[in-house]
Amino acid sequence: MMATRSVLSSGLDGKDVVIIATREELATPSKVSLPEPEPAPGLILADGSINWGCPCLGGMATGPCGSQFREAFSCFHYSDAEPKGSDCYEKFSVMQECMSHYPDLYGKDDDDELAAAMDAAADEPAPPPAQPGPAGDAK
Amino acid sequence: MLRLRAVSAIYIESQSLELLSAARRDGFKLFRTSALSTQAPTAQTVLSAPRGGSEHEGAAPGPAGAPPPAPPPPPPRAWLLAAAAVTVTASLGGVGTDHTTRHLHTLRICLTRLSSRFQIYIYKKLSDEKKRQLDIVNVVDDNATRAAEEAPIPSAGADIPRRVQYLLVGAGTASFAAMRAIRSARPDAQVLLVGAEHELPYMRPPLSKELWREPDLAARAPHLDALSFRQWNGRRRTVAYEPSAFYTPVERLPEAAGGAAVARGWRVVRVDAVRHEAELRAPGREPVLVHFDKCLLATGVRARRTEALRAAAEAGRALTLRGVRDAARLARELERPDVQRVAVLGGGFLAAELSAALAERLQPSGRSVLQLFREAAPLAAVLPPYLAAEAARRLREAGVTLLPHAEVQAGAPDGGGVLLRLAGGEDVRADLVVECVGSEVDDELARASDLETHPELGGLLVNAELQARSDVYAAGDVACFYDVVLGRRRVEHHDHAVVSGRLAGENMAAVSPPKHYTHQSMFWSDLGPQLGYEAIGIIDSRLPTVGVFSADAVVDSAAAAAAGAEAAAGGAAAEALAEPRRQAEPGDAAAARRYERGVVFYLRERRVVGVLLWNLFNRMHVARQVLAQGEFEDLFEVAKLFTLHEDE
Repeated sequence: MMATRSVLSSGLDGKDVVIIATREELATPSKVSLPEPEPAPGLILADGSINWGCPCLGGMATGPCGSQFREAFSCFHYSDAEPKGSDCYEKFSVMQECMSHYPDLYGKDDDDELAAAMDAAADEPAPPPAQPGPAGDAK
Repeated sequence: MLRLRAVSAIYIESQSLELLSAARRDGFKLFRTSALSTQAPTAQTVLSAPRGGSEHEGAAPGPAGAPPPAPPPPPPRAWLLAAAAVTVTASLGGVGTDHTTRHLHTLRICLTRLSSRFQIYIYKKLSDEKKRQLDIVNVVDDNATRAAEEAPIPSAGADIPRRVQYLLVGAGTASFAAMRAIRSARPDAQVLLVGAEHELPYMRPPLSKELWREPDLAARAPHLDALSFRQWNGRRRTVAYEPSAFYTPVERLPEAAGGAAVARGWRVVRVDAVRHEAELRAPGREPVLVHFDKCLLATGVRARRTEALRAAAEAGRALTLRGVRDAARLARELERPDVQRVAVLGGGFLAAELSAALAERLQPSGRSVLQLFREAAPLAAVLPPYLAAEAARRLREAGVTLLPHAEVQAGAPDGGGVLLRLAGGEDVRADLVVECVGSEVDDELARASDLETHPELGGLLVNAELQARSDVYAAGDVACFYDVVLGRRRVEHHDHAVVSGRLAGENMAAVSPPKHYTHQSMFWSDLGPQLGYEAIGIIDSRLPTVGVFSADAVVDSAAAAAAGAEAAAGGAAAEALAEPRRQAEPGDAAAARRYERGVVFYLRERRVVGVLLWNLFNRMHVARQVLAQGEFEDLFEVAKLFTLHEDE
């Protein structure tokens, strides 16, 4: 084992240890396994309820149209109508009306990119929610 | 180096920072194109934005042009779509996290049912309309700002409500995060933030980082609420978390059905925890007493000054960098043609970051940046010596001239600059000095309020729930809190302000049972374009460390080895790069190498109490897990979990 790594000590009383190992050795499986990371709560919690504290909402739920947004988004989220949310017109109108009073808050500077993104989102078949890779996105 | 900076985008939403890599790798396109925020674009962006609607002429409005499969009543659908669009936008509020990815996924499913063209049309229409209004608003705002320059906001104490549910003292990141947590938990909550600064709550990290890449910084200084910078993904972002429209005017807070207001230029000088009362003062105004239900103290820290530089400071030649006004002032100073050599005093994070940032800014015009510090190498208090030596090399490569072992004994104004007399008798002249020698807690508020402070660590004592007294909390830099895992601490980092502010806010809102501090905060920094590092836990170079590096990421260059040998032989190290007489002491073989990429564990007894990721990104989630577990048989095995061999 030691042939593939070198160990140096430095600092006061050699308190700082440096281990330099080959790529090959570092690539071997670790004997340590860590518990699954606690899933960070997303917008929709495990029980299906809306997490209004989700950082992903930015200032949406806390801003001047926060309560209107919450009404509308709750309606949309829990809607059984077809298409989903089509029974929420009233609430969305109220939200939209509120937002129209705050153009610099709810306005956008580059709708083209958003449009492109949404276009892509709408065209794409829904990918699996779990992301591959070492991040271990729990859900 | 864009790949470095997924992290720096996260100025407020930190919670799942470490899960970014997936979002970045796979959802990169979406993530990038969707990183919009609810913030107002800057005036500049607005003015340069394309206007007119020629591009959507093709998509005729109404049911005729839209190709939805069913014949639905168009108006409801239109509104629904517009709302959904806004929702997407909001959910991506400036940052990408796993939440974002997941939420996007949910929305994608909803949106696939809808005609995307139609939806875009509605959205564009909406947003053009808003742009037009925005221009007008900006012009009005500018004039108003100039006229009202230094008066507190509100100017009259009578406009401050006498009673609020939530009083947040300080209007920085911790208070902002607390406000969000409170308003998320209680949408009807009335929250009053009181800040001594005149600006809206803003983020500090860009002030020593991205901001210095803005060429016209000095010109934009009068409009600090609209000041923006370009973040890692190329997108512009304002330093203010939210534009003024987000907040309720202070005088209207009592009648608002919930909202957040910011009193600016007002200072809370005393909090009476028993009577639930705070005294607010502003220059030239009568004191105002405000009764609160719950109160957060998040007043932050202030820059420490160097006694020897007092005269230079009074002459305006020695500055500090703490707030956005300091940054604006420094930017203006750098515009002066006679400022050719800038000295940054200090060896900590701020000094190192700022030195690198200023060197990048000033070098092209032939001006120089000198960093002076007491220690042998920059960041010596946090990095083990061999990495501090590496940091020194990086800074020199970034164009910074380093002066280690420099103790400033005197600094008299000298012509337009400052003449620094060092302990060794040496004189160094600079046209401008930026003091980055640490910070200190202003404990006047604590003393006036009979609140306990910590004799060594400084700051307001709070328990693990961030509570100082019943209904009185503290968060951010000022809070000396109990961490059940790592012990009593005080942390001065942006992410800590976010994490602790949010926790305090949740506990103050008291919708769910009180929680204690468990989510460890992290920090990140860059030194020049080639080195970025991130860390979590206790990062203190006095602790024993174990560093693991991949052999191909450690360069035993001949030059470095020669420098090391020379130093070992007792000769003055000469790396030929900058200051020939004073190099950081390489000391031994470890410091003679260059370290490109690796992980360093900081230990207390056998426990890992800190993890440093050196040019290693998107692995914070692993570091967090390691910190949580703490003890291991073999740290080399732990290091393998960080996939050091995979460069990204």
